[in-house]
Amino acid sequence: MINVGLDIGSQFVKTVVLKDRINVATCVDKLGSGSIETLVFDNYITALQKAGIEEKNVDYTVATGIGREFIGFADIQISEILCSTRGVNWLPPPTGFFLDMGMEKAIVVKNHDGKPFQSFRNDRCASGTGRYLDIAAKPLGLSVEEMGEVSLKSTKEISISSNCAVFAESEIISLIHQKEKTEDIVRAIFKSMASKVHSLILKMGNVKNLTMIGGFAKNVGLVKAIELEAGCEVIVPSIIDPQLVTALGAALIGSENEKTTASL
Amino acid sequence: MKVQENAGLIYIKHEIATCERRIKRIKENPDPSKPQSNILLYEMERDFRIEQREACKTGKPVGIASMGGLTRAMGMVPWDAIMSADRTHGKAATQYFETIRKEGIPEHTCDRCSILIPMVQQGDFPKPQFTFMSNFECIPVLFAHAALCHTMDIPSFNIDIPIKSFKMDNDEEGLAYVVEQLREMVAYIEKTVPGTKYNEELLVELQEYDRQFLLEFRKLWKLKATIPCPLSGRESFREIRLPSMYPDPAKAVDYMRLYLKEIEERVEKGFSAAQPEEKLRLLWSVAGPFYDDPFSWLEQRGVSIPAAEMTVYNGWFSGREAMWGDPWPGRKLTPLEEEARQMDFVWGREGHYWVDTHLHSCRDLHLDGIIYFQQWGCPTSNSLGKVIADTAEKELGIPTLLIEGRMLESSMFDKKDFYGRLEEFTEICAAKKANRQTSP
Amino acid sequence: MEEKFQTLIHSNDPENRNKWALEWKEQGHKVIGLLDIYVPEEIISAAGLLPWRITGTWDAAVPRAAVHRPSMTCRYCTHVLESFMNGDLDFVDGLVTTQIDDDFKRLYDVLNYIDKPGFLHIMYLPHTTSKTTLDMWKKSVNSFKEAIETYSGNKIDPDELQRQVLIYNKMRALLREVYELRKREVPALTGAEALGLTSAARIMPRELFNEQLEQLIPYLNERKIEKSDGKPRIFMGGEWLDHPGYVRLVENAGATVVMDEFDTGSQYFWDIVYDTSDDLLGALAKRYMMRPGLSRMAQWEMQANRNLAWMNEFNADGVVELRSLYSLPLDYRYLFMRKIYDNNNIFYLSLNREYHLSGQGMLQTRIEAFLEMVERKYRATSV
Repeated sequence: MINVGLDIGSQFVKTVVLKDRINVATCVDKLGSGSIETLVFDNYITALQKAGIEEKNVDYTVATGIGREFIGFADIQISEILCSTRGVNWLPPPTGFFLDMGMEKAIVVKNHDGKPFQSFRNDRCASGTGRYLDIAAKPLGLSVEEMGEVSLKSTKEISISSNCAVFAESEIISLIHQKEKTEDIVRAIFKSMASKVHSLILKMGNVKNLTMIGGFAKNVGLVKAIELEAGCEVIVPSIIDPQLVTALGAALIGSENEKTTASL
Repeated sequence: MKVQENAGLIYIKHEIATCERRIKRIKENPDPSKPQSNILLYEMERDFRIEQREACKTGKPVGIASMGGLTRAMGMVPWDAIMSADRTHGKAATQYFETIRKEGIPEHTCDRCSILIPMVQQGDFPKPQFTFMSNFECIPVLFAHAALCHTMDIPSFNIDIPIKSFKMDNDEEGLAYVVEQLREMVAYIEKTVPGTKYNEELLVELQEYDRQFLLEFRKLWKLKATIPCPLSGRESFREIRLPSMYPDPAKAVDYMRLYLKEIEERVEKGFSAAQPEEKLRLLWSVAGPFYDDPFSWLEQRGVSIPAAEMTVYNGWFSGREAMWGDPWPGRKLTPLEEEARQMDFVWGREGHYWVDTHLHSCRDLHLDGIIYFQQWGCPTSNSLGKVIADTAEKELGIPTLLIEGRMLESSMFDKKDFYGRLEEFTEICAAKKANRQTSP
Repeated sequence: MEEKFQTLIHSNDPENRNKWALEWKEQGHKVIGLLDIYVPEEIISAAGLLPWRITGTWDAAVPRAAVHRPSMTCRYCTHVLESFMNGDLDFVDGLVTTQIDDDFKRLYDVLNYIDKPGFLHIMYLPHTTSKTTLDMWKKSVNSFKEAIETYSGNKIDPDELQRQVLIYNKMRALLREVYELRKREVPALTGAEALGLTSAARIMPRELFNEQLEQLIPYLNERKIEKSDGKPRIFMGGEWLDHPGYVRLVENAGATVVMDEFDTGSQYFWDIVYDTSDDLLGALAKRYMMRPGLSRMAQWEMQANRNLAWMNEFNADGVVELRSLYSLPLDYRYLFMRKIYDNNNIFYLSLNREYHLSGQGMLQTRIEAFLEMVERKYRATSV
């Protein structure tokens, strides 16, 4: 049985191909200009080619993510929270909670046997999301990807007093002018973000460990900062790219062909 | 900002025209999916606005002295600026917010309180001859009126309500305190506003109309508990105006009776607001994005909203908060005491009352979750969201969505994000409901 | 003496601020946290407890408080809640507050819910002053006294209460005496130092504070701050401002801060308790309520008149007000005050600020520009 999960985010499209519920291929592409459906379809075909599977042999395709409504070729569109929870539930080791951090959101979800039982999201403010890193990286002349490893070299704790991502940028520039080291500034940025995430985790209650998914789970500095601030273990999936967990969940739901658990 | 000298009638004229358009449309081409009694509602609203317009033109005093009943009993036409501010969403609200930002008027406070100030100062709504100020609802309402009165030299009087609810606790001391202030206010109005005189007979008459109206609402509360819910979310969310605010209070009572009959008919037919079938029932609390329609969005996905939790209403409707004429231990209340009692809303008092009212509504109406809209700058409700969420989870096993937003200013509304959160929450409610139903 | 003065005015710095409360507890007594200037502290002291004004965490991050309080709510209340939830205030045995506004009321509700601290009491305070509201406030004060007696297990002796009134009146008189020294052309202390002094008063046993300040007064009489000619004399406004960094910011921008309207400053001590002969509790109630007060008292004309009088007495050239973000009463009062200051040709700058020290660069730029305007007027009107 061939099932495909497509996760269309704000910046990336991710595809996971399952054969008899085993992951056989994945593909991640950055979205650019042009029709979303075309870009997603190309990504989907690339994944199938990697798996050596023809499109006609696909049994069921599930689309999820904020761009799912544009994907007419999928068999069904299912909400992100259902897909990510299912994906997390499949991963070892089992955890009752997960954090999904993307460019536009940070959400903590309680996982009850693969169903979402509670969630808390960042407010309209960007300062607890990937967008904050995007803003903060520019004055430092780093890519977001580089920031993680850089922060691990920090030896001095400094703090960013502004709660707002926009004002924080100006504060970062001041820190640069004050000749604070880049690694210390980056660590302060992560600490500020981690504090916002900490609040979401606290809302959930007593959380000893949680799984982190989404692209920012690959940022070692951010993961470490969250562990320190929140005082809990953050588990980053090792058997699959954390950015692909939601697409994995979509494919798993497709393999169970659970039309009745689709979005209301 | 210039002080408004002339009566501002722009809003009133606009409302009269809107009501007349709607009345015409209902007469010519009624929408069977909407209550037919709406025609009475629009007629009442239109007539109220005409009354305000004429009062402004003829110099009859326009003001507000606690509720509609006492206002009219003083010989004034009710001035409902804050409720009118509530209705300015979309382009009008965005324009007001531009003024608010430019003029340094507080923005990070309840939207209706922000808009109240430029609405009156710019002359879009009449300047009243008198307004009371009070903490009976909340601090933003008190201080928005204080700011207006102080900057526009509007005569005002403060009625202060204690923290503990004298209404819920049947506390004589608290009641006497508010009544004394009402007496002082009455004397002040008679002295300050020409053409005013306290008419107790009229107050008693209007209080009886308000009572009759709310008695109908108590019947409606039972109908809301029907599965599936026969009321649309928009109907649940509509802020009601008591009969004493209208020039024809008897018509308001008739309207309510007719509306109730329509809902009874819907129940008989098994009508469901949620389509294609009702899968979830949720409580919507505090406020919402008035420039959009999350209720229809939810209803299309099988989610009904039998009730909205706002200020005093569910307390009245469920019978848990006394209304005019309800018993008081040991004696009958005087008309002013009845008025004072109604100025005690659980909304503005100690937090546990506000938490309790959510739980009561969820139990009474068999609800599966709470959508708690944390309107920017609503200190009365914002900081109790998590307490309510935790308590509802613990005592009822139902989840709560805490969602921040603005009710009138739409320029920052991220539709995708907002409906994405609603969607997530409905999934969670469905999962929890399924779990409740299958658990031993 | 300068060292003694510096030690005193730095009492409320984070590394020092718990000292007297912890010493008090070591002696087997209890500490009652306060947030506002309306709770009659004499009653707490008369019951053998230490009234101790709570400074919220000065850290930017408030993750625990954010669980309950969205970001657009009174920042002081949020930072106080954070301090309770992170354990910083575990030594505080109780909290008494008035319902300053809905934020304070909900802070009380959340503390009640999380069951911290052990003793919690909220007093009803009306928003305007009249015979009716004063009578109700007196009842509130009486209920508070009973609650404190029940909690402490001590019935308050009227003589002890009278004694405390004298101690507090003395403290007020001493602080007034110090504030008089700010009227001079070259004040004896800066605005930041004055804030440090009043903050110290609110966290020390009052008799000890009186003792220390009394010893310093002769020294302060001779003291002069560094001031260059032409620096505008500024009257500062704001509420829930306890970080001296904000006052220093105004002074570093080129002002001499000669007077304030802070609840954490002048308003804490300005009026004394009068006429205690017949009705001590009534006199106390009157002192705490029957004054212009904070912006939450909706009698802004009284506050405006007070400010104008102070500006005159202290020879202030302009007003810089730093309003705490999302603190609504002052945000609304701003609309009225600017009309008053405008009518009186007074330069007035009112800006929002965080509770913790933040955004200094932006604030400084705007304050500097404002002070230049004030200076130009000062030079233009000088002979």
